[in-house]
Amino acid sequence: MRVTTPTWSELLGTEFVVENHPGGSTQVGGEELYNADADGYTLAMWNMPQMQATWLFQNAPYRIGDFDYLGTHHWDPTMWFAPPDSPYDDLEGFIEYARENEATVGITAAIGNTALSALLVKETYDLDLTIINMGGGSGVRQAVLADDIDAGVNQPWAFNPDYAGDVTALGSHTSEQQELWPSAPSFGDLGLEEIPLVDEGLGQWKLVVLPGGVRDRHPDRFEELSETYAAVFENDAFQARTEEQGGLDKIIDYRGPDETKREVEATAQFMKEYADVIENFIYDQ
Amino acid sequence: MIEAFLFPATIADGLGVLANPYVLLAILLGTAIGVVFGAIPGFSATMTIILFTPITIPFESTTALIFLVSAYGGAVYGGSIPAILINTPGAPGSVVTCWDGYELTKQGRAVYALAVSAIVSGLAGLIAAAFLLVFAPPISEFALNFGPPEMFLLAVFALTIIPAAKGASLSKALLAGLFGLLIGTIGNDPQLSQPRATFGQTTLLQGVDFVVVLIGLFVLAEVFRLAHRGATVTADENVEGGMSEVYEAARAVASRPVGFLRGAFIGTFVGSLPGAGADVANFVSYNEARRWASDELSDRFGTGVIEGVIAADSSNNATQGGALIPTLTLGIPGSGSTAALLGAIALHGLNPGPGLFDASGEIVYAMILSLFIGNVLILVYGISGSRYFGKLAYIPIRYIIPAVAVLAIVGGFAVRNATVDLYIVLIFGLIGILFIKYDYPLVSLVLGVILGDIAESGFVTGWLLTGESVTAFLFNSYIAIGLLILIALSLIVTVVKD
Repeated sequence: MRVTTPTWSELLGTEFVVENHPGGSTQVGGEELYNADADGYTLAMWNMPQMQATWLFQNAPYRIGDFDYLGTHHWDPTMWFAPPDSPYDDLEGFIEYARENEATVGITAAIGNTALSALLVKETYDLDLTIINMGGGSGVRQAVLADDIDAGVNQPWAFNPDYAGDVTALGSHTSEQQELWPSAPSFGDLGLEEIPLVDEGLGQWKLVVLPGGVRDRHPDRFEELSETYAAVFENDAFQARTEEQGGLDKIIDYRGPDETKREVEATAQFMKEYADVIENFIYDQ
Repeated sequence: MIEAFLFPATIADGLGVLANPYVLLAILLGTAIGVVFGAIPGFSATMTIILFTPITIPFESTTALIFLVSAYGGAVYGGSIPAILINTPGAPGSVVTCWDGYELTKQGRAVYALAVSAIVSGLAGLIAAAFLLVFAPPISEFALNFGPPEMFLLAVFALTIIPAAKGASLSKALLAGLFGLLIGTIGNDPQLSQPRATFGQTTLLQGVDFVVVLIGLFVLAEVFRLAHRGATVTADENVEGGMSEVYEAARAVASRPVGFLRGAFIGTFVGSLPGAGADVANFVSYNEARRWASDELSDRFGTGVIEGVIAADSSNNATQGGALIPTLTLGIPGSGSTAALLGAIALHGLNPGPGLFDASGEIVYAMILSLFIGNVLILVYGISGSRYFGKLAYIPIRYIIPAVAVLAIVGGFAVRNATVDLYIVLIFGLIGILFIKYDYPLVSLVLGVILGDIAESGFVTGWLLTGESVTAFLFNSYIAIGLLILIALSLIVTVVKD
């Protein structure tokens, strides 16, 4: 958000006040937005699928229809990492290792894309994995660097590509290789298509969301926000800033309001489809 | 993994950056603003960084980041001013400063305590900055060895300080500490993100913010105590409050180099551990100072001995340099403040992590070198200001009580802009009064709340990582064994003394 607002502010001709509402796996900020006035003066940048997870697994009071969607910002694919001296150098090797040994896998949160990726790999190959929530991206990174876990699931941009030589990238939960971490194969490259969501790609979206009702009650404001937000991605200063952000420019992926809503619905659909996988994990633990 | 990065040429470039008058102005302003905001109860260094980060967006990156780093250092020091004057920690890292600092104020020695606080804060900050400059890579590597089991044991070690807190009874201190741990369990559980005891309040998914607890327990409870006592200072009001007190403060620090250096090193090291900040460091430092003191002096800790102020304030400011070590070299924040700073660093186009010194060495060295100027400014602001801050202790309580009560309410709300926090402030204000009435130590409760999250996350994650084996968990590494020995020694000493 802070990368985007300087340019957006210029285009919109108004100042942004950025507030951070952490906690509850994004639910604290989500409810803040849900309860805000639908006047076009409050918006949020939100992570997906954490958004859907808050109502699927945490009883958040809102649903898809309670918000208006302005557009996506970027998509960071889910990726598996391992300590540098691991006896495997891709996910296929890790799966073989985990068939013979008890293995630990660190994830960034109990109910997001990293948890789902770990659980889908575990279920697909019937592995005896101990999946541990490391409490965020830096927790996973530290555990991988310190060799505390056998593998960690994060996103390449969140993990920081500067570590490319210091850790082993086992593979990304996608059919095609992603751009940000060139040494990392995709699950598709490794022939692991039997893992669900490889073709669709499992990752974390960042998107801009408004309280529901802005589009209907203030179509002019919605239009202005939508046009200026789209224009941000064409702006040279914004593009230069994203290049300075550790390769953020490589994962920028803008989609307009309608396509964003379709993406939100599709994500909700697959999260619902695999909800029992995450619920079983929570109850088993 | 991380190569040494002490490049004289780059340091010279960094010094060149500092020669810019705008950068120097940023350090001057940032430190001053940090001191002022840090002194507001409930306004921590983390909140100061978060508040000012958006304001720095239009500025050139180096100037902006140096401003934020300076504000961070100023805010950590600023938290000690109200701790000494009105028994109200301005920030979580100043809780322990109250114990002897406020006792000195009550004896009419506020200027003396404030000057000591400024001197040890500035000097310890300089030592930590030097460590950051020279030893960042090896310390980063070592800090990585503190995995979840070690963090749990570190939290337990800090919890063993509870019975030693201000000479309270062992059973009451432990009960208060356990109650604090119980409060720490409110919110989403760290492993499965399932809500616990949130009473339908979304804000509580994040848990009870310990700054809010601090404000309730210390500020509101102290307002009632003040009303009961009738004045802040109980000693003769004609006590010298001028330069003589400042000179005496300088002599006090100079004659206790071991205590000061011990606090500075504890602060630097604890600060470099991910998740443990100034709040943990000053408890550990105070406990160690008390443990190493003679029996006679140890018994007087908490009654206004200057060794207590030195232990607390030499450690909390040193955490800044320590916490920046994993932040800059690994991209892993060492504290809440450095987590906020990490966001600001990324916002200004730098990429914290192993490549940072190669890619942006000039800016990073300028940031590190600015710590030296910032800490010298803390000395200047603190020593010159202490003579004037000290006069606040003589303001009639009819002015102090409403002003402090308003600050408490505003500060409690400002932490998260959440209405529920106002009720929490009030509830803990009442709990504070009950604790004082029945002689339960407030600090034990606070320490339990602070350490609850670190202990629980460390235990659960460590337990799973070590295959749910008690022995593997406890003997995970030489560091874990060392911590176990320290815990055992701490308990034995406490029981014997009790």
